[in-house]
Amino acid sequence: MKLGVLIKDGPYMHQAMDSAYNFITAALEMGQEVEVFLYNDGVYNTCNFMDPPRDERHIANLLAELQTKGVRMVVCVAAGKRRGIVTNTVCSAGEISGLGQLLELCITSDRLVTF
Amino acid sequence: MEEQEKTKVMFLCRKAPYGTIFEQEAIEAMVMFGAYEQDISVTFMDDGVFSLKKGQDPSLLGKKNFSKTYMILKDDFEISHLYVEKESLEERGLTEDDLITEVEILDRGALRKKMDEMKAFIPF
Amino acid sequence: MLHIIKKSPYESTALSDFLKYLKENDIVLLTEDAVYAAKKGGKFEENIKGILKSNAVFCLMADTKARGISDAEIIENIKLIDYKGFVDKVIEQNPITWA
Repeated sequence: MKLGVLIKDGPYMHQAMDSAYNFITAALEMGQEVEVFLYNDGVYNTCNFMDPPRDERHIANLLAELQTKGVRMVVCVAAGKRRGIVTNTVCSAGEISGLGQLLELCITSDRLVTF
Repeated sequence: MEEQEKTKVMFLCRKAPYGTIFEQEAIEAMVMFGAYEQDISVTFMDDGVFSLKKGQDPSLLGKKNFSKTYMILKDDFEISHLYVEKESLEERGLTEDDLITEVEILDRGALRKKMDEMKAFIPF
Repeated sequence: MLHIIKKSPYESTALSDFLKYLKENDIVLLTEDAVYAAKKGGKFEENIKGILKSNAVFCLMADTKARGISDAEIIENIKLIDYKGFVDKVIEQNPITWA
């Protein structure tokens, strides 16, 4: 099955990205395919300049880990531009693209779950 | 050959405008989705119904008035349906006459039936 | 339909909002701060018990554990699941997140 994951909250302030990370990790272990779309403040999860204390989880690095496991992570270009998440500031795991990709995800995935 | 079946997607607009960016970015998504020739519905419920209230003027907030976009969503952007939950309107002292554009007002039972047909929901 | 609730019922109307759309065979999943609704003795215990009469209610174990809610404190018949259980529920039924 292909699971689409829509993330609408930013990192640290909200639990959404952490919940989504755990959900995606479980889904991958179960052999499911996952694709992510980041919208609203969710685009901040891909900020390349986050630098939390060393003993704390590093959310952009968690995204990088998901990417190495084959998860595509699309960052909405319009929501990103508004918030300063652009080519120079997005982390390597984030792929900047349009809202059409979210509709495409609705079409190609078997389920879309929002965090 | 049969035409390829369209994907049914519903926006669930449950937040009031201006206090957060949800309404504005929901509209941006609706406008984009409309261009892809799928079957897109937009449902206003809970505080989301305030987005449709006539007479909005956010100029003193330094923001654009996005509510005007609702009037052209169906004709210009090919959104299939604009639904409003009847109970949410009533609870907030609003009637059809208070709304900026023509919509289909449905009670929860009827709306749930529409929801059962959807493949995906985009909640705001 | 799978109803996903994330916000504490003491703070948000999500718990009452989704109820209006609850139908037979639907599943309810309490996650993040919404797991406080699953705790015995709270204001929402009767609401949850009402839902349990007709529908299955699941609660994400990682979230109850994080918040110090022991299994014994959770309202009877609520089923605790892990993230794989969460994935299973999403596969079973079409999810809506009410926040």
